[in-house]
Amino acid sequence: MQNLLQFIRTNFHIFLFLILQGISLFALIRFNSYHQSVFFSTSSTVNGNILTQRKNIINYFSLKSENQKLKEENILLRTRGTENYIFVSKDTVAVKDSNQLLQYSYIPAKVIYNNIRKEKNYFTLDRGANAGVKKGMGVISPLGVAGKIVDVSDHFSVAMSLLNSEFILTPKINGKIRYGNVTWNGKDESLVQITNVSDHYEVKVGHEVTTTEFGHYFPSNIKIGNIKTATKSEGGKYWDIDVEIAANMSQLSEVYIIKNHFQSEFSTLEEKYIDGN
Amino acid sequence: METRDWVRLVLSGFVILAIQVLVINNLNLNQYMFPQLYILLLITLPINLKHWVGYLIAFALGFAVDSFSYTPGLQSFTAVSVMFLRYVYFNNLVDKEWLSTGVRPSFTSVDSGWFVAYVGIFTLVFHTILFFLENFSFTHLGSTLLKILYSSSLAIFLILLFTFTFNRETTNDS
Repeated sequence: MQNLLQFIRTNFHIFLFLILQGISLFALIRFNSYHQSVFFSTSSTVNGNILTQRKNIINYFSLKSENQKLKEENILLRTRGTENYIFVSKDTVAVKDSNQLLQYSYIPAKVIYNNIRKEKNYFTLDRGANAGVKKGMGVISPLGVAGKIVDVSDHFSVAMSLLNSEFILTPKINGKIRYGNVTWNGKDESLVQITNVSDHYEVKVGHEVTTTEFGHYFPSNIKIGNIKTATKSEGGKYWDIDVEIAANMSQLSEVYIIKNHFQSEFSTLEEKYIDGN
Repeated sequence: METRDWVRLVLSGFVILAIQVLVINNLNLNQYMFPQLYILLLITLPINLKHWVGYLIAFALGFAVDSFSYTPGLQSFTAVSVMFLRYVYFNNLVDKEWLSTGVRPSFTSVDSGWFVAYVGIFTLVFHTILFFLENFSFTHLGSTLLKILYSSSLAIFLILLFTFTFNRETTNDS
């Protein structure tokens, strides 16, 4: 102890030097927006690479369950193929027609960082602007909606999780009711809430909740979850609905980023009339 | 140094700081010229000044200039760094006996040639650290180097001019 004090006393000027430089650097990075942006973009590239390596290792441990999920998805997709259908009417012929345009395509991505412990959760993906990812694109897991891209660098992107109190989405309940808002109250990470659904709609436990095409971020009929509880709110004008999330938010790994080929067309057309989204 | 000298130092400090932040910082000569005259105060401090006092003075001066140019941390980091290098220089490359005399480097107190070289080196070092820190990356290297060159040259000229006139006054007083 005596030696330590002696050491500090004799080298006091070095400690003072380091402290003053520390304060200056902190001030430089904290209060100068240019230095801050350089610092954070550099550190996010470095962190992104480290997180990718970490995820590469972690992925080995979940290969089995990932494989299972992909198999289930494959089965679902296979059943949609035309070879599974028989023509019941002899006069319909399938032709490749030109009156349909591809609206949504999918960019596969891996989740390299995910957090669900906070009230505003984000996850990081290993695809960025170089892969065509843009701010505002929707993100789905094989099981259902997962989030929305909020920030993009060259090689990585950050998505606002479904488990984020600022996330908002219009739901479709039971394939019919397209009304209300899906939000998260920050409590249970397996449940999201639907608000503002008037009580004259018929809502039952077990009804499927899917996306609508309203925000242009997701194609319609992507699963969000199933209704777990539905109660009339106090005053009895609206439903209080809890939805069990279909996607496994704590184990997000393989996801798809949704690219809407008409996004810019929609937004230029709508920006004059519609706020937000 | 006696109290009288310290008072004089503080007063001249305020004058030079005022010239720096009120005049020079607003000159806009061209895009490469941002001379930092105030480092004259740092490099003419007594050569045997205690390290911790030197660091605190450097930090305070840098902080003062920063607060007028809205660049917190930039000047203070550079000033403290230069103070550190100044001590490295004095502790290793200068005669110990001369160091204990505690003179303030100037045209009259030391050899003129040595003084010009001393001002030149530390002004160049200061502007190098400052502009690399300001740019914060190695892109636009050319314009950073031009800034260092032009600003240092002008600053060296101004500092020598200032010390020259200032010294003449002191010699007249005594």
